[in-house]
Amino acid sequence: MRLTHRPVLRRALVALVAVGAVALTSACTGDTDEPTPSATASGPAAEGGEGEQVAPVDDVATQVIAEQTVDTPAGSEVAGGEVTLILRDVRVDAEVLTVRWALRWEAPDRGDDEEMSLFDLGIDPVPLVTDTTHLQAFLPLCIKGDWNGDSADRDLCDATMLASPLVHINTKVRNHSTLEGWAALPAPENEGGSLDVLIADGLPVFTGVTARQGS
Amino acid sequence: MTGRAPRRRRLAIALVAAAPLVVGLPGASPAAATATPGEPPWAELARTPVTPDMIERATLRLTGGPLHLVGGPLALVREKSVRELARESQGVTTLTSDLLFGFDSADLAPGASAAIGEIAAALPQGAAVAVDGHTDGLGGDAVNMPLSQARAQAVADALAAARPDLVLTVTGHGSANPVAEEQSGGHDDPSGRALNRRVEVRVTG
Repeated sequence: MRLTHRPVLRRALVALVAVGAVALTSACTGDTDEPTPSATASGPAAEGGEGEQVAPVDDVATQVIAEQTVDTPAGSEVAGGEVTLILRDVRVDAEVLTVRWALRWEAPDRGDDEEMSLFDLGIDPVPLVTDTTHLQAFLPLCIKGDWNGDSADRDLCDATMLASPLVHINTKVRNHSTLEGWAALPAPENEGGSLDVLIADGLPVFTGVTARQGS
Repeated sequence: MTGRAPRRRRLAIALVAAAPLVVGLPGASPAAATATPGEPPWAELARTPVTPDMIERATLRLTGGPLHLVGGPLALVREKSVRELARESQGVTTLTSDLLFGFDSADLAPGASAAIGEIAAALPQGAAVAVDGHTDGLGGDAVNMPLSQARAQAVADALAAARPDLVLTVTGHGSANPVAEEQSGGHDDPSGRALNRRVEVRVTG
């Protein structure tokens, strides 16, 4: 069934607000090591009683579904070392699929405080999720533009997609640190499909992923 | 328990999460007014009276109703972020190669034959059909010409299996006929390359 725009918009907004709040509690700058779960991430206090309002729980901040390590791609710099790509979560809330991921750069030949932008590292994150069971592919929702349109429309989508980091030229990663990322995509119309998750062109694909159902 | 209470509870959670985004983060005090240029004018914002209209526009309602977020609603259109197996335009059915084949492969993915069979079912009886394979611009003709031919042949085979009455002409074009630019602003554009990786099916007679 094709979904109408208005429910998609409303539910997407609610889901994205939750994602945004979760993202605010996570380390998104790459300046720190593994992010620390919020104080309410575990324990009975986070459960809440009947009728109580509880804060969102970032229960996947340190989760690792899978990870792959490859030589650092060739970017505008020869950064060297390796990057480890971590898939943290693939989750469906209403009509929105959220991908949480992280990227760690390790370059033993460089100083601990050296920084590289994603552009330097040759990485331009535009998460692509392919449902290989039902033969559909999904790119980040965008405020303007159209991934299926012409070059200008695709550029607009790239600039306004609901994802972080958004600007790979300015986003920097410090040596030995981890960058946290997320993206909001349309949820597959069919549940239970086998998903391939590509975070950025040129990085390895996570295959055979199953999305978990959120709220 | 009905499904209504949990839904309201979830929405309430989302609203709690939204509060810092709507009313500003706790650290957004007037003291930050001396921050570096480019930051929001905290001091000015702090002096701005909050009016009922501002609250009205920034409030999400549990009971639904239109959202009036400041700046207008986001124009999220699902279809603009979905790549389907097949799309039709001007009598041409364009199949997305990335959904039919693995990287550098001409073997149909599981489920692809059935999907192509559905497309075949809509073609006229005994029609002449052109099946044209296209690649992106990476790899050169030595790779792309045989790959595009093999992929077009794989689609043609699936069409023929479903509809033996069709008269099929199969051609591989390599990267000679792109439908999307593969560079944008001097940078590589993977989304454009993906659009160029395709097999086109058209009735010619």
